[in-house]
Amino acid sequence: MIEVENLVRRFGPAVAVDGISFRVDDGEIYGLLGPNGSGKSTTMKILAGILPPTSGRVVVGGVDVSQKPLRVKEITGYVPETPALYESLTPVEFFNFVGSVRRIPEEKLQERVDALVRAFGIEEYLGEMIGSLSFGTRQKVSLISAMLHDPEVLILDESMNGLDPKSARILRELLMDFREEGKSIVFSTHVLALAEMICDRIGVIYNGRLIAEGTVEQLKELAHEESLEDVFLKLTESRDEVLGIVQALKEAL
Amino acid sequence: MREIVRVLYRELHYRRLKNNPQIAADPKKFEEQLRRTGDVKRGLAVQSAIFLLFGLMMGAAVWGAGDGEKAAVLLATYALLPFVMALYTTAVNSSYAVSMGIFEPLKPLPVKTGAKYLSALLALDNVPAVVAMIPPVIAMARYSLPAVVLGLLWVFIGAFLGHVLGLAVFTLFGSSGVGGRFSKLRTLARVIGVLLFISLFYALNYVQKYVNEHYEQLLPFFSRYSLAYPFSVASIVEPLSSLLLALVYLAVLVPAYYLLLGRVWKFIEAGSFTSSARRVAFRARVHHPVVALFLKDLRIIARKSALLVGLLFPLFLVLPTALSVLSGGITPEKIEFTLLMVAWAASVGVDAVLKTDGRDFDALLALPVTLRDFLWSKLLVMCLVPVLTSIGIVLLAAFYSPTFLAFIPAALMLPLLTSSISLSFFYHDEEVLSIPDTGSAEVLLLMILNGFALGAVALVWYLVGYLPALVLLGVLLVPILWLLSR
Repeated sequence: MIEVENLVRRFGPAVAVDGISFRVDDGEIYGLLGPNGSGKSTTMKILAGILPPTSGRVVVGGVDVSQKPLRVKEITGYVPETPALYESLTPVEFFNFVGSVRRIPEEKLQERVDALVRAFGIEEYLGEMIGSLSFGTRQKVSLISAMLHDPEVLILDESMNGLDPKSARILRELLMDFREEGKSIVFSTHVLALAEMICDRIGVIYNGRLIAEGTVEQLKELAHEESLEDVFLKLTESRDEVLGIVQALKEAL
Repeated sequence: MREIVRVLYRELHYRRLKNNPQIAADPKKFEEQLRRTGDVKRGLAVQSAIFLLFGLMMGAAVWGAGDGEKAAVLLATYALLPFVMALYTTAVNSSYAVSMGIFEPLKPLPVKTGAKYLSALLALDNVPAVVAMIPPVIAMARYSLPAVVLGLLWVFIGAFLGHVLGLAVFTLFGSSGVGGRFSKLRTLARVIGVLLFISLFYALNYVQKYVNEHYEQLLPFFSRYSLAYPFSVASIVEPLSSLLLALVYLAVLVPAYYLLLGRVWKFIEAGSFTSSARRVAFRARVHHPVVALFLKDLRIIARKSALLVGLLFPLFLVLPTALSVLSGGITPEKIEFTLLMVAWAASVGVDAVLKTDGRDFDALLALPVTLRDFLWSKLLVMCLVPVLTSIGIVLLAAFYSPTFLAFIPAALMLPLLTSSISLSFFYHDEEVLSIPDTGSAEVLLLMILNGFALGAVALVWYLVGYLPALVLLGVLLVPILWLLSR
């Protein structure tokens, strides 16, 4: 379970996250939607124990991130927007490194890597340096390494980026399975159809604030809109702006 | 051009600071550090001021030489400084700057030779070494005014030569291409190539030393026929031939520079490549986190020749002197001196060790790695080369007399002391994982600090004996290792 209460994160005078509160239950997939720079990635880094909050309370799996960030990292699997990997290592070496740092027993590590590598189809790249792999393959390595220790909580920041349709489908199915197992999952994406498909509840962040929250149906009702895209554009005050920009572009081009 | 270099310089320092979560998480500290290090003029002024102190010492020696020709020979010795600095910073830092991705925004732009910006960026790092040479060059005014002008020209040529050769090293050995059947062999070849390349300066240094010792007999030959830098610098007492030689150097270096710049840019544009796909089965091998971090660092260092050279570079500062000391017959005093020197030079390795993670440091932040495990792994990496060298020297000495085996504890503990002091220096008030800014001023200060610690040990060793020195080593090590284990 994840509990976020009045979370604030400042970078100098800039406020990236401005007092947001939400809760993700066990066995729930929570979607964080918002335009670029709205504070999603900052929120997710705080949930993963990477970035300390300026104020507010964040509890992940019963652990306060401000007090025990290392413990939070132990129970969390985090996939950043851009894969953060050692480019001079091969996936084999990286998985062994992550397994060692996370103190995963050898047998379990072997089992999980074999299964995940097969699922994402990266067998032929295991001996190559990560730096030489395509973005999509690196994203798969990043996803696998985040799942090696069977985390209680998964934090996926636009993790579908760069994945081929088959792998995207496999990830979707995996997330559904994790939900069945009672794991809490926070998931951010710009693909609204995907969010609509897999998220139990959605929070919309805009300018660092959580401006709406609920199931897809609740959000549609709230905004009096038919599609999640229209809900999103309306809530983030972007619809008129989008129409204006498109019109201006048509005239300019 | 100036604006792009200014932006790249700031960007490079910005990314280095961003890699440091301790600084990046504190906006005030971040702004302050960026203002201090990201500004070209300010950054260079601080470093140049430090180097100028050495310059004044060298200037005093040149002034006091008493004889113009002897002063010129002395200046020629010092002229190794801008040359080696330029070679080292260009060869090592170029890979670092490129790997941080600061040239990525230039790639899609219609820039013909963007490498000139890399060249200018790296040349800036050489400014302090050139500034250090100003006092000894000016001191030549005591003997001849044209020698001052020519001296400045030769210092510039020395830095330029080092820079051009550094670019050649980067082009030949700095490839980020990975994988393939012969990748390990290529890495080894690159490293051996770089090390042999650097060894050349020691050959030059040896000849220089020889010339100094046989100054009277060799002076006519030295001044008339010296073609190789830095001996050529001594020709400044004969303005015409010196000027002609300098022009020949420039005539070769300038086209070579432009040729290499083109190649470097093509290399940067091409980026990394995969030579061939190899199917490898995964076999789980789990180690203690410290060992896993240590192995990770070793693998990265072994695959990035620039980092490996950085790690081995302290040895190259020490080994020629050590070999010349030992070549005159092995005595306990000489072994002691050599061990102290190897341990002292180990301080320089901190820069390469802390740069190992580079921009991939984010990968570590998502993992439950404690600062203690991180520091112990870095300590192991940092100690590895100096400890192996020290033990090698002791074993070599033991071949002549087994009593030297008693020096094994010192061979282990001395590098451990300087390495742990180095890490404590950068991490004494850190509480979370971070990569500190290891500028030349910090490394210089660190070497002075380690010099004091080793000086105390050496004093006890000379005056009281080996065993009390070992006890002192233990006494010094305990609190420092405790600090790292918090």
